[in-house]
Amino acid sequence: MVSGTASSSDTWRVGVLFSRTGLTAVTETEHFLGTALAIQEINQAGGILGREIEVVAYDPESDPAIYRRLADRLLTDDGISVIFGGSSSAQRKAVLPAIERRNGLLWYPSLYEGFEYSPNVIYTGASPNQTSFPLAEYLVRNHGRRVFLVGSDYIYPRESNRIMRDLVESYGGKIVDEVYVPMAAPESRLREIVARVKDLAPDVVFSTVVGRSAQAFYRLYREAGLDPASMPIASLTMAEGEVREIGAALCEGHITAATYFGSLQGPSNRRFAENFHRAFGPDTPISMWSAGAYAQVHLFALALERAGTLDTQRLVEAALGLSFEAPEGAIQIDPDNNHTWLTPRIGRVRRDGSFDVVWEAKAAVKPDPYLAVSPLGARWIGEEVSVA
Amino acid sequence: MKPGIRRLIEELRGARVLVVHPRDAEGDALLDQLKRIGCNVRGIWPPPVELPNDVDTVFHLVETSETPAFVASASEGGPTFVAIVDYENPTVLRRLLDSNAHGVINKPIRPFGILSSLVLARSMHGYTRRLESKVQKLEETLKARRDVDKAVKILVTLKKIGEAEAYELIRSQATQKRLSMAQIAATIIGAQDVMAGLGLIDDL
Repeated sequence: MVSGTASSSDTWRVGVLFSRTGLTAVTETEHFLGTALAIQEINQAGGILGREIEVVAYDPESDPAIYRRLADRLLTDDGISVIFGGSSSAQRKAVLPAIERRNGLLWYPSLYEGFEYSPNVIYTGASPNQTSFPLAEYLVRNHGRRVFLVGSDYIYPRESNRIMRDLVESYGGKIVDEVYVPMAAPESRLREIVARVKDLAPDVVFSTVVGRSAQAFYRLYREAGLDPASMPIASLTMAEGEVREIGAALCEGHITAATYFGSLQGPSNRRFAENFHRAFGPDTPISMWSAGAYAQVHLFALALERAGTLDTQRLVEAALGLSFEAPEGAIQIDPDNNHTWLTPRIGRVRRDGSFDVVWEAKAAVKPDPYLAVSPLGARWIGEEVSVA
Repeated sequence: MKPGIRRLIEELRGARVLVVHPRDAEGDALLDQLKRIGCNVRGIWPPPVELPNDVDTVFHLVETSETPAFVASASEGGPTFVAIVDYENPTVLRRLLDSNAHGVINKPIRPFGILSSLVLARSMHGYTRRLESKVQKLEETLKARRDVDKAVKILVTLKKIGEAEAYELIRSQATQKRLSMAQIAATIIGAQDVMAGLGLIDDL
């Protein structure tokens, strides 16, 4: 599976772990493509300090145990210390002990639920204060106070729902129910949840169901006659690629809080979109997954250029404080907590499967993984938004 | 459970933490992680003679050398105390036990685990304090109960009345004088003792 032909002495060898198969294959394939595009751009521009990046990529099949095994293989057999990878907390937690023991460096591009810091990880995805915080206020003010929580049963949904509950209550809202489904949820179970939503008739559903189960949930929701216009599902992960899998018409009106949408109009995003479509075809959707994975490889390249070595300590030191004009706009690695300054946004699915950005922060927001400086009930959304 | 963890986490934002550890890479790692968590934190080394009184949580290195026991050993009403250990030999374990620490973290210090230790230690400290005040209250109640029983017996003998009536007398006196029954009972017992000493009444 090793790609590239140059000998390891004249290349920078890095590992890539994104699943091409399994439950989260859709999102992780987007991660993979974003990563591949950035590496291709860097190599075509002459590499870093005159040396190209050489990739060793494996498919962890969406399985945390396989993630762990492949991380070990990269760190030991392949002698690689820098790994780009992971799209869920279960996967990241599985890889972390290996990374820390071998003093590697993981670049983790996905949003997650916070409450983590490792000196061996650069977190380039959103923290809860950059997604859930504005989303909660937006939902309560625009859709209503009664919120239904549903999630896949692992750490990201459990903790995200705990945070969402506190937030919704701080805005005077109420959680009408909180339910969980297995990672690979049977359709019968998802039907039960949809029926329960229909019964309780909340104002909005906050879903942290991920992967194929999420796609099935959205489909069944619409089939049951539930209307996103009056009762949307809000998510932190539902992006353009999965919307296309489900069918855009079935998703119109649902809401996602993220720091990137493919429809952003900035020059950096137009450039990214052009390059992406040239590389992978005009019909391949772009999303927060590919854009985030793309941006972090460029941050890595800038850090490596500064450090001149793949030594973990020196690479991290060089990375802290770095900024980059990413597809979503200017981003920066926070020197205190290894997480990234990103711009919070809220999008609503259009009929064509892309997102209308219905709200965005004025600038990038400091990541606050331990929610140490993010008060519950703070004002995010401007006065101009009408209260539902 | 849920409000509990939320309160514990929120309390961390105002926590005033003192780290008693040499100012080296590990000491810095601990200080930085406590800052990330949102605590007000400062470091001090060598160990101060007395703990500043404006801290509510102390991380303290358990030393192996012949230094005197730490200043910060957990005491009633004192701060939450988390020990930092780098050996697990009986000498250090002995010091750990003597310190009455509410929690422990190990060297080499890594960011993972500090938040858990901190939350658990603060929770244990709070729990211990609640238990202690409960025990104190129960002890007082028990003593009061014994005094009232004794005072009832004195009244029964002196006034030749029934126990229920004696009890009611003590209660009405307590209400009239705005004192607790235990205080009235203690007064009766004291008075009986003095009167008997003066030979005015028989010893009971």
